[in-house]
Amino acid sequence: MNIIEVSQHSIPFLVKGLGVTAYLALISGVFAIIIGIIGGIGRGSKIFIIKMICSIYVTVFRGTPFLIQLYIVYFVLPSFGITLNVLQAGIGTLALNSGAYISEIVRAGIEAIPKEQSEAALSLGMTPFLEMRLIILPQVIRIIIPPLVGQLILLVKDTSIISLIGIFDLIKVGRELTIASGDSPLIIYGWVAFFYFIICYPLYILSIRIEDKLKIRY
Amino acid sequence: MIVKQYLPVFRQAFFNTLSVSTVSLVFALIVGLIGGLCKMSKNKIIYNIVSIYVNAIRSTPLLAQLYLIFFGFPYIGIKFSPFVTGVIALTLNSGAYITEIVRSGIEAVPKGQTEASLSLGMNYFTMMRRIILPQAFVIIIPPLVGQLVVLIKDTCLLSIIAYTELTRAAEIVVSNAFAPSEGYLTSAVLYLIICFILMRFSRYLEKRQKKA
Repeated sequence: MNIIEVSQHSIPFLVKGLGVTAYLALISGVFAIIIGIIGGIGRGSKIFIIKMICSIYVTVFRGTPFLIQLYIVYFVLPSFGITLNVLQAGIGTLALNSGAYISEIVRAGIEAIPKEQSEAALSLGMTPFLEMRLIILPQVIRIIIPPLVGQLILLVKDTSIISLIGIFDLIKVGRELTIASGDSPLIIYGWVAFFYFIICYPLYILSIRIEDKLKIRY
Repeated sequence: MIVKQYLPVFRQAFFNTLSVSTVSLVFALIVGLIGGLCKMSKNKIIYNIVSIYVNAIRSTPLLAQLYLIFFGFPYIGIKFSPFVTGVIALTLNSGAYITEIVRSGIEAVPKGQTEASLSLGMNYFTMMRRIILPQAFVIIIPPLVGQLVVLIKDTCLLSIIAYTELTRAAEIVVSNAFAPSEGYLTSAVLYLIICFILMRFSRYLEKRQKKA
């Protein structure tokens, strides 16, 4: 089996799959960050019900595998009258899953801010919303960015699991290529792994850089 | 009651999930300990090899690693059973993360400890065994339990290579009895029970450490 021949044949397909993977990661990443910020603030809420709902959400999504969550959304929800297509189920579940982890990151970030900041803001007559926006969140963002980037790397890798309900992303394209062409799976999966690597590794470098930068400032 | 009818399947699957994650954890700890020590090494070659291993594993999805081992290796004549494939993939994967955990644990031990033990005339192994690792161990236990939770959740991917763990059990129920709600929700609850206990345990350890 000729490595160059197989590579030449399969790379164009894999690049298309890479586009789908990037799309999935981007859309669900944006939603996950929004959900995470809401969830993280909600977990620190003084209203019991909101706090309770947020912590149940975080525990359930962190305590079960993503694959099971995906199967439940895609196969179980239809019997309760909620039918989603593959794309909606995949992006929605991934956003909810990562959102739970980001909630924890945001909560830890908020807790790391000294309480005096919040007291000072309130004593200056700020509303809680204004206080969050102008005083707490700008400080929180600097603390949470390194773990947030780490979580986004996990999100990119988790998009591969969405292929199991039938989205033609990078890994699914690789799987179909090996089945259809009978080419060496070692070469094709090698390329698949390499393509994931070229997305994730720069993100790792970025997170280390950011962490170093924040360290110097303090 | 479909769940009751398939209870033996779920019990076996529950046991399988625990056994594959326990075996993988033990191997991953060994890999992680060796890797962590190598990452502290002054030898550039050893350090680079371990760094490449950690970065390669952390930057690719477990599913791709699993496919590579399960579908790729038989192509060059290396074939494993689903259980062994699962253990190899999970060990290599978790081993990389545990390597980083061990490294940060060793780095967290104050440098004075190393200097003191060396000035007492200890050699490298005695120092590591008696002074550094016991202190590092206490630091790394909470993130290690966190990694165990990740490992247990990752076993769900072994359903793809037909190892009968909790996710596969759910799939069996779905295909035999056509009851997706019962199958998947039961598995989800079982995962949740295991992971919830471990997550609580990890948080308890973390709190106790902060006090001390």
